[in-house]
Amino acid sequence: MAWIEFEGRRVRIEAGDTVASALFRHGVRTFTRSIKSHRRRGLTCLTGDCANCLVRVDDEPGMRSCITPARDGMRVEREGGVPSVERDLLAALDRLHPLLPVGFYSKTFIRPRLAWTVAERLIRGATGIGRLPTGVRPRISQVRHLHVEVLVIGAGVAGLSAALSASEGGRSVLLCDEGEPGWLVAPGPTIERICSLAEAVQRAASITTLWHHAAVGIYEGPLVPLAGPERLVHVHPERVVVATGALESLQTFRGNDLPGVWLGRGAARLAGRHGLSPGRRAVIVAETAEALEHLGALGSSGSKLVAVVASDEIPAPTAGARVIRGGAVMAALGRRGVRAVVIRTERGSERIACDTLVLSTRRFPRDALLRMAADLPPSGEAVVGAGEVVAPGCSLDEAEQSGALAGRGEAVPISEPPAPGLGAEGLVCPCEDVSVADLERAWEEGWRSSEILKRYTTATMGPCRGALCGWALAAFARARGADALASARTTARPPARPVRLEQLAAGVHEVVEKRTGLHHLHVSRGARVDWSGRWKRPFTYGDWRDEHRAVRERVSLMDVGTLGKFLIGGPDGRELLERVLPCRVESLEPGRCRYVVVLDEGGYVMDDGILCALGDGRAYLTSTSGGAERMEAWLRGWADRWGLRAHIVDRTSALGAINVAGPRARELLSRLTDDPVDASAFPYGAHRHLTVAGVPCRAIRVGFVGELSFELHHPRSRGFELWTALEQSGADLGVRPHGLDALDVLRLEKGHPYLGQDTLPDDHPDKLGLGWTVAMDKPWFVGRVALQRMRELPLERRLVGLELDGDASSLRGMPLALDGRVVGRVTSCALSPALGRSIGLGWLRAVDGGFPQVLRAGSAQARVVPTPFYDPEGVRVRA
Amino acid sequence: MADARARYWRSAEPRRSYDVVIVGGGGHGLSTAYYLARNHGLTDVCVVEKGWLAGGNMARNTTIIRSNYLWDESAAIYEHSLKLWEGLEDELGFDLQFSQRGVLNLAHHLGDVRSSLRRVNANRLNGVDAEWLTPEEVRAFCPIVNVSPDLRYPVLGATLQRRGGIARHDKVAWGYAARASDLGVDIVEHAEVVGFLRGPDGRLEGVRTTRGDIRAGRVALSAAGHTSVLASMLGLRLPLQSHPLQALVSVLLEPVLDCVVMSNAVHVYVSQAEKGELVMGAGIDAYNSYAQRGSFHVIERQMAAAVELFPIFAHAKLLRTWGGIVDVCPDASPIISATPIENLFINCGWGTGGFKATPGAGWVFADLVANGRPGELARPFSLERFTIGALIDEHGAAAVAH
Ligand SMILES: Cc1cc2nc3c(=O)[nH]c(=O)nc-3n(C[C@H](O)[C@H](O)[C@H](O)COP(=O)(O)OP(=O)(O)OC[C@H]3O[C@@H](n4cnc5c(N)ncnc54)[C@H](O)[C@@H]3O)c2cc1C
Ligand code: FES
Repeated sequence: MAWIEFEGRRVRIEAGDTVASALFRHGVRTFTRSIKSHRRRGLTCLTGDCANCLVRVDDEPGMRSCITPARDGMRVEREGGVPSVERDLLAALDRLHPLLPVGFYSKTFIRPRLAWTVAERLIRGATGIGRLPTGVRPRISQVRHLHVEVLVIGAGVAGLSAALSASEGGRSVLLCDEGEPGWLVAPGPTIERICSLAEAVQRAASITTLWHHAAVGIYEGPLVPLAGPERLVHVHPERVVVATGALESLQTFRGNDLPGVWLGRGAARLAGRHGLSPGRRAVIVAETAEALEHLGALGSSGSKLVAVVASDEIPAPTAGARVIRGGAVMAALGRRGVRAVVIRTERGSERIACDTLVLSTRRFPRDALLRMAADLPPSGEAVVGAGEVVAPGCSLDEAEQSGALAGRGEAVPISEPPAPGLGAEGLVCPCEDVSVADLERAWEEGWRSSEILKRYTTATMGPCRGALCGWALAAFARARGADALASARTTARPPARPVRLEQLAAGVHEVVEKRTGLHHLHVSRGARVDWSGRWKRPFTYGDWRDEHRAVRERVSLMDVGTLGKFLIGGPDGRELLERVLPCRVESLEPGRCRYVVVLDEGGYVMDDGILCALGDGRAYLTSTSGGAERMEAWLRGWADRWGLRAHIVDRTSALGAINVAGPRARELLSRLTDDPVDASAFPYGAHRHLTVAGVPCRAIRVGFVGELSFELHHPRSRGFELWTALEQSGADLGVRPHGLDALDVLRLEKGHPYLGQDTLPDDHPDKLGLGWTVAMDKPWFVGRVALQRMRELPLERRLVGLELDGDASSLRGMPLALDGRVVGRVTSCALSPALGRSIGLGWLRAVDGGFPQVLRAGSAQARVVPTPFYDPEGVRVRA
Repeated sequence: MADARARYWRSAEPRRSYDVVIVGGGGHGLSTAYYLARNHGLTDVCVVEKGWLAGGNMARNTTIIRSNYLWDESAAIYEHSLKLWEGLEDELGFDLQFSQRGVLNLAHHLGDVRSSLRRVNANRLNGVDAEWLTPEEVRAFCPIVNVSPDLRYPVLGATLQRRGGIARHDKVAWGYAARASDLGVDIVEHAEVVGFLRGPDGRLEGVRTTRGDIRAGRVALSAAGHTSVLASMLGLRLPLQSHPLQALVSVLLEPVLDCVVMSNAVHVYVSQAEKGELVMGAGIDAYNSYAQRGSFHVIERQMAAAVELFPIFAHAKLLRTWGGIVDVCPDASPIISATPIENLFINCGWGTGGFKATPGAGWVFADLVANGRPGELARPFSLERFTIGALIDEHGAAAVAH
């Protein structure tokens, strides 16, 4: 025998039970409390549409108990209510309702200010009902992508038949449902039809079914995410058939939200599928032919039918109950649940004792998905409805036919839903406790369209997402003369059905860390690796000062494989570069390289790198590590726009790069290569093919760190070999690797700005002292027009070199002040081991047309000095 | 307790002519109207709104208020705005649920830490309250943030502005509308501006709306994501890009979060509204659009970040998502400016973060419109800055939508 644990008690479950049916059998009638007025709420729709049965299941709040299958060992608790749902002290709020009706949150506690602070706590304590479990770990959900020709949402009569007809000719069809075919339908002709169609669907080879998967929304594409147990499915169909059916309307009358007030299908399901009678004495409102089925189900469950309030079209039920024609429910009375109803007929009103009121009322489309799709560009036409969602109240045959047409992609007959009648009393929006009277007051106060009524009263903003009240709100506005725009139904937004936040995260696999081919080697050398943009890079191998010394005095290695690396060729490759880059490209001879900045259209520096001219018009271009992806897109974008025949090959991840830097770099290299590396054969500003330790490399002689250096770009797979060979044969030279910490100081000593750290997005080259990189005599390049214009204006801000007193290594970010006025900021600084004094880079604003020379950075004095600080003539890099 | 006033504001029939016509009845348009009347005695003013009152971004934002921007120019205007917020409920006699619960900006990597520290320093210099919290202090301030070091985006610290917080967006709009209306301003709903009236000499003389022509001495555009559309009707190209920006709320939950948490790096910002729903904003959709909806993958990313930073959110359920259209400038700063067209003024480019500026922007824009020339606070935000290159780069402070 199976049990669930309900608030400390054991509750028996039977085959086919949902959490709701098990609790109901156990005698539970109040399932939750309403948010604002703490009114009791009980089972109503049994189709997962309303919010009256939300409970906490295994610590997960807000579960719809009526569609949650009961499983052995489940823990179930009710939510809301202080101290409990049954004995809720805050239910007193309900009696205050007339005093704090609409705009509840808007009007109350206005003054004094302090009162709001207190009220804020109170309201939050009293209204938030879902308690989130602490200590949860997000469950790992999966994501799947399915590409099909036709997606059918909803496996009712129309949906099943749509799937069948769509699959004709072998089209691939996916049929999904929040549950399973027929699971929400009480025994009767409908279920028989569903069963036979479902069997045919099972046999159809090209139909895939996904049960217990609810469509979250319809996005452009169309893209339809489905939320299933522990996973999310992205469906990319060519067409969508929405067959989500319709929902009976909750009539408005006093007490329409009391436990014991049922929608017809809900009561019939409880009786027919779970064998439970909703109550002992039932009154049923019969507006539709289907009501007769509901009557039958109720009768056989043991409820006594006291009265049937039938509209004229409904034939007299046979069940022997008293039939009241032309009557309307005025009120449901009772405190804990229905005790009696008041029916008004032409002859006056009558009170009938009963404990159940079943509303087999006219149905309104469950059309949120359809409405989401309505304004989507092209794909909007790819989404159609079938069955009750476009023809509410249609017969079984009509539904089947409508599905068949929609499945084939043919036009489906559509009928307008009936105008909902609004009573004078009762709740329009039970989720948010908004009554007819509330809406009336709001209307009087000037809130005169459905959208603004929604915002003011919060009607339709509850957990059922307006499923129960959206039609009524619009009808309310229309009845008061609002035009079509002002009485439109409020916009349908995803999700159509509740979905856990963790499920939405299922498909996101954060770009995991990027690593160079040498990552493990760094770690094994004791490197502290950390994030640098999307890369994980070594910051230091333990002692950055010694790493610095190795570069300046001996020889050192750095993994620069993160740099962007591009091969540019094709007939127009050179032309592309000439137009995109502000420097001269055509005069760069094969075998030579040059530092380049890349400007955007605004003339601002967006990246920098090294351009190497290869033979036959090709070029090799590097970019900063963080800029690689953008650089590729940038080049391709321009090539495309101009229709240039250029090939751009991104070699970033295919190639590794090791910078061998230091006065003894040449000595080290010459031990491992037969190619000439002496200054005359391989001078500064050149690049060559070298075979180093058997590894083919493109070696580039540039020097960010300001020493003799060779940047060896090599096949990534050979990096380990190359690095270890360099390490081994350089052991006697004192070779050791350096990381980003040392690099930061090394380049600072040379006065090289770090893009991003020392620069701002609106820096043009002149502000950075990089004017020399731009060939203004070229007729055109990206950014030239803007640069020209800016050059006509006085420089208002400039990056300068700074010399600071004392140990200034912690002054980064410090404002630069002139006579107490902040005129700039330190962007980089360090106590330079090579120079023995503090240096930095920083921004300065022009003051009275000139740039001040002496400033204060906190307590230190800062003097503007020319850069580079170290080896200003550049003798060492050229060695 | 119940409010005695019968109507909040008058939804007016448009008259034929006004001194000033403000296009756009969002927060900024309404506050501009209010301050025109209150500060400058200009009451012959009309606000024309194409939909229902404040149904644009004002109805869709995540209501985060703070002033911890980097540059002096921004700090000045946002701090001016925050000071106005601090007295706004008294000023308007209207409860705005303004709650200064503190805003955390998380730092996830070294670069973040550096720029956050720099921002804290810059803020303090500008008299804006700012603190730097270590991961432990972050946890103490907001216990549900996951500060475990093995996250993809570990929390390395955060800046905190205690005076920052949230307010109820709709009420702010209603409050301004009510008081502006009291002072004689006409608020005209469901009147879309579809063109402009030009005199024989080309002078701007008013607006053409779906509810008829309205003549105006001055026209003030405050149409957020649609400002560039309106300006282009006059042949004026603005450096604005309109993007969808999405946000979402969970179902109501018991209180778990009593401050605002934002993270630039992972693009999520969240608070818990007084009723109990978690309010979260996403990053902008990269493409340009005027449709008030966005893509699913943006929501997925945002949730991945949210659930990682706040594991407790994992089982919360999504209630509703929506989108607005935000007008983004290249430097992530707004434009408050006169234009090459005489009598045309614009207030736009607030992008993903203009709710917090509602009082300040209205104040400053009203001043510009009333005097015809910018005051101290508005001057740096002129259109001219795009010509001379004096941009106010607030990507660091405003890259994430809030
Ligand atoms: C999802 C989202 C989250 C956000 N989160 C925050 C946040 O946390 N903090 C923050 O500070 N900011 C936030 N923002 C930004 C903020 O909402 C906007 O910057 C601000 O609201 C813009 O000013 P507004 O209120 O005047 O705009 P809107 O409310 O958009 O007002 C513009 C009005 O102009 C009207 N209009 C347009 N064209 C015409 C026409 N032709 N004729 C007549 N009327 C017209 C529109 O209908 C609209 O009502 C967010 C924005 C979004 C979309
Ligand atoms: S009844 Fe659920 S939102 Fe109104």
